[in-house]
Amino acid sequence: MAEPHDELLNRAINELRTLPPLDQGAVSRIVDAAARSRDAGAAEDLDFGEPRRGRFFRLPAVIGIAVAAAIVGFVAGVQLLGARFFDPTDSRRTAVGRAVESTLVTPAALVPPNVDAELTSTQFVFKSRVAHRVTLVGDFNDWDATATPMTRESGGALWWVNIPLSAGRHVYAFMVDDTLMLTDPDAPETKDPDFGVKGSVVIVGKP
Amino acid sequence: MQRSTGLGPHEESILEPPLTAVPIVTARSNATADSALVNRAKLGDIEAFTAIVERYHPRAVRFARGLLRNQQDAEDVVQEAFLRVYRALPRYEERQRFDAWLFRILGNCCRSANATQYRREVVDVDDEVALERVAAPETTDGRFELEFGDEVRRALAEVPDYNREIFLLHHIEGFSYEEIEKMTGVRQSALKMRVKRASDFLRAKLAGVYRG
Amino acid sequence: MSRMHRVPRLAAATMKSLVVMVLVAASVTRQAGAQAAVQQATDLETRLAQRLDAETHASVMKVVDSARVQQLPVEPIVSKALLGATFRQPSAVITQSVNVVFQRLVASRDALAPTPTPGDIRAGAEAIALGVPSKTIRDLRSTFPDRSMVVPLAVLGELVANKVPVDRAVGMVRELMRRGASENQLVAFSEKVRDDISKGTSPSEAIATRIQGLIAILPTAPAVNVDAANVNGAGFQNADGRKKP
Repeated sequence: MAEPHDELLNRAINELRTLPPLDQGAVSRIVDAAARSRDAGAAEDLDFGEPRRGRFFRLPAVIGIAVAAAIVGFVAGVQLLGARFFDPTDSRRTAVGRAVESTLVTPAALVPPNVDAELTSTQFVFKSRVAHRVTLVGDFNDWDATATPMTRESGGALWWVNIPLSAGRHVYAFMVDDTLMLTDPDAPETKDPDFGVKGSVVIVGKP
Repeated sequence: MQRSTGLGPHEESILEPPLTAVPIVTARSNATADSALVNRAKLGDIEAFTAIVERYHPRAVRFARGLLRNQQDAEDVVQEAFLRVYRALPRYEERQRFDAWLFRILGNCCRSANATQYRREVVDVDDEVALERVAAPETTDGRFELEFGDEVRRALAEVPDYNREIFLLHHIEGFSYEEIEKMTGVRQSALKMRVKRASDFLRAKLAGVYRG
Repeated sequence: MSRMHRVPRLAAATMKSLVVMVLVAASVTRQAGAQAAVQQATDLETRLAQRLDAETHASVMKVVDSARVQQLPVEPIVSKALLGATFRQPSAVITQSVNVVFQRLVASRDALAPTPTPGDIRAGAEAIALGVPSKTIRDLRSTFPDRSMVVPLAVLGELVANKVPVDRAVGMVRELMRRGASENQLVAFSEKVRDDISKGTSPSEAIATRIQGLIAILPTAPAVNVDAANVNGAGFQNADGRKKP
């Protein structure tokens, strides 16, 4: 979509919009490869039902938690009458705590989300006047160069971003103009023990 | 909250695209039909997946050819992208548009392929020469009197990757800035600036060529 | 039945209903946690599928599945695979690396037994990768059986990576923990040592100097039974890891 009078650009856009003809041979190759990967093995065996089950249980879980909360309020009220009941708050907290830390009764026991992952907002800064685009990559964003773009102060040379990090050691680098991976000159450098690639280290304490 | 570009409201209004001059021919109006096919493909219907590939393959090739530094890679990269889509398909949920999801994966594959054209170095950030030393994209051979289409592609290849990708997503593949923001995580104001820069570059390049 | 008797019976019935309801709520909440874990697993597969080719994806998922069975954290495996993808490592190299990560996670879990958190296991695996022996980790854990090892192991790993001898490094970390140094103080200590080393100071000198600065601001009476007279200018003597904290 260019301005109507921008004839040259519109011609260019129209030219670029030309679709190539459908290459049935390429389509067949893709489908064959997909079928082979499907037949390849258990590691690719996908449980198509899981997402639906997740949605199915969400509502009852909300109701259950609301019920538990209501019970807490009710029992707290009853206690005021002098009757001595066990404190369901403790049970609920313990039950929730256990729910987070328990493993599942499934063939492949799943490790729950990291329970000690309290997060600390951490700022990263990169200095360059000539870069056009800087992103942060690291073990906290799958080393994905598109995940965490950095912001530059208008007219300045400092690029920055704040991200929440869990406690512990993290390795990161800066991807500049989708081309160069640079370490942080103000941070300790490390070499990945398995790939040999360099990165920078930050250790985050608990908040 | 810091804005990523520092554009004032007046500058941003200049970037707002006016009415479409030329209609975009895409498959985006087939969202409903997509939904049925995707649902079947999620359940393992290989014929539904085949139909999806047929529907999107030409667009995927068009996009890959526009974005890749080595255009010979286009078919391989498109194939890789569709295979990744296939493996990730059971986890696809309709809260995102299928074509946006597909192009996000395809964009990742293209960027990875482009990255292999450069040797990855870790250099001292003070060495700003290194930052400027971005390898030039492959260009066509120096024939004279190229067809307009060839000239356009040659000029496009000289647009920096990050501007070119957004330009292609918006002007060629027809994604709105809002959709591209969701796909890339880049703010709309920054996206508009990238498209403007790519457009300005193309216009200037082509005008220079045809001014003689 | 008098009203006096009716109230306790009503209370008992209510009590029974409440117990049932709380147990149901707990069960449903546990299922919600289970579903969250399943969703996390599906997101993980999608993350890998989007970035890895089929062959590498399959190999990595086998290692991920093995880690799950052994109740090890899987994020370090995923992170390693995606680091390899970012740097365009060959499939065989990525596969080998994730297998090595798996072995480190196993060793870490064993060293931090009996109940390490996922964060502890991850930190231990990283420390092992940086050259900290499993036995050193086990000894540190036995000194502090109930404390989070995440930051202490990260600091220990960095010290060892900066060529501080292992015995000196763990002695310092242990001593600072005994004296009640906070995690942020441990991190700052490690950063100062690193800075000194980068400017040419020997690791031993750097660590001995910087620890003096930190203990000066820590409580003079250490939190644990440590003979402060054994502290000398060259650094702490190795504390017996089996002393009670």
